[in-house]
Amino acid sequence: MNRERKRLLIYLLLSFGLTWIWFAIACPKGKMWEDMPQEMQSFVALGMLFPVISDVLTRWITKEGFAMTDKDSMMLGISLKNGKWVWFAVAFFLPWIYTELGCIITLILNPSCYDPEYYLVLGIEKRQLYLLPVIGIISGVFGSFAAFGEEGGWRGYMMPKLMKLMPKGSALIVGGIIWGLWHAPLTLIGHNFGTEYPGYPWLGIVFMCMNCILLGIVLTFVTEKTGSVWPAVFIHGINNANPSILNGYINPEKDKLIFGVNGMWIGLLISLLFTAVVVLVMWRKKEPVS
Amino acid sequence: MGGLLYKDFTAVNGKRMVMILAIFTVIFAALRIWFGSAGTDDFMTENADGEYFNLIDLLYFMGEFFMIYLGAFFVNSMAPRIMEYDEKNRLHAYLFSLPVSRKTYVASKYLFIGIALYITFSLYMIWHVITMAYMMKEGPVAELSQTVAGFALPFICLLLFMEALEMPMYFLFGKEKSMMARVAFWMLIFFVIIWFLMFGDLTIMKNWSMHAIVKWMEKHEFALMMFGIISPVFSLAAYYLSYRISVRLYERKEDFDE
Repeated sequence: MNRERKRLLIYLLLSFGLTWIWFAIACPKGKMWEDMPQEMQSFVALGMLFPVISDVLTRWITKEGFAMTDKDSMMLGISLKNGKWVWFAVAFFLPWIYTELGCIITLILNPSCYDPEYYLVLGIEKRQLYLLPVIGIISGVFGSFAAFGEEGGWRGYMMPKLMKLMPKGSALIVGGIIWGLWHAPLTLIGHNFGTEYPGYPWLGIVFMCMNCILLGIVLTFVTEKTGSVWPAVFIHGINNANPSILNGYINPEKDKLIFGVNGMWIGLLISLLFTAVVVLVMWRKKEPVS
Repeated sequence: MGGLLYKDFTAVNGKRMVMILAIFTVIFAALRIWFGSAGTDDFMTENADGEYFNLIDLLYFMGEFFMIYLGAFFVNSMAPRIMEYDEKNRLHAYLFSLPVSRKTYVASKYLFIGIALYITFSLYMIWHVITMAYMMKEGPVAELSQTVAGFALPFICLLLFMEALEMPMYFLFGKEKSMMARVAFWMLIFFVIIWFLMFGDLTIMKNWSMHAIVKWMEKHEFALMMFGIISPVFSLAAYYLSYRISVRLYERKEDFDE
């Protein structure tokens, strides 16, 4: 077997194995995501750290070394030279932009969702609502350890290996599917989509894979442009912090299912699709196919 | 840059520290799951105010509390250690004979302290999540834990700001003199507190309690939110400014040395 393929297999075995064991141990028996208190959800979500732990373990097993920068490294260095700072700036604001765009699409698809005072239900004052994107960016950056746990592994190890083994386009799709499947136990207990949708849980897993393919394109692009996993970490961290003003005006209880899944997810998925297409066009422009 | 960072990592016994912290975190999480799943009702007790709380919760809270406060002060003490390491081993002459500029050298010190603070804060967050997982939802320990968590980021920002003030002194005066200035500063703070305790108006502390702090936090939620936004931005800006000043001072020092 090809050496790179073997290394990737070891990584995937460790990453899936350790995370799924963690989910099995940490999840209270028989409880679904929405039945768990928020503190327990955060505890279960610590499973996000295992991809980077698996990266370290794989490098130790395969004796690949722990270089921080350059070829075959963990890509932990930060360089702002040669216009790379632009991608760091993009990383801070992109999640906010596509999240708001997703909310706009949701409202277009399902105008009955609009609730001018829904933020009060969330316990947020109006003046606080307008600060949410900034808070999302700050908490996404300072509390980025969980996002680092995932991106350090997916972008820092898996994607470079996949790109060596297959063409870039296929690598992006396969990488996204792997990443989506890794979330499967959480999707199964109702994380992200809940359990009240037709086609549960398979449709949820398919939507998660689609989401991961699209977000993965953006994250892999910024990683390749900067040679560092940090912009991807920041995008992922800020993305998870949900930096949006319009979310305070969308009442999910009035939301209806579109294609069997929560309409807000469809909005976000379309917005991510748009972002991923823009990124792919930029990628192609920089590297014309001969 | 990577080499300089690795040198500092070695100077503070980084490998051993990482191993110890990783093992502690695994044990911390494993015991939490074990105790949490087994049920901890036997460890319930009552405080002076008649509030019930769990002793295991209290132990875990103390763990996360020490992680953020002792951990952060430990990072704060790293700066003089990495400076001393270079001075003691007379590394400056050797380093600057290599293609390493003074700017890169200064940047490596700032980056190292920044990374150490980021890791401390991240570890604290992990320990806080582990602590809160099986904690009683109501009660004094949960309140304490949430209050400490609320102040964790501003506290880290305060330390970053203190580093921003201290670091230029290390580059200008060296470790010995800077440490003297640092001790003098803390002695001054200590004497001010002693003076306050002996001669100050202690009645203002009469109504201080954790409940009062929590109530105060709830009342001033927006102000705290603004503080939470401004303090990281302000401390990062101060840290960057301090780096620029240190580079200037250190390059000028080169002129004097020559």
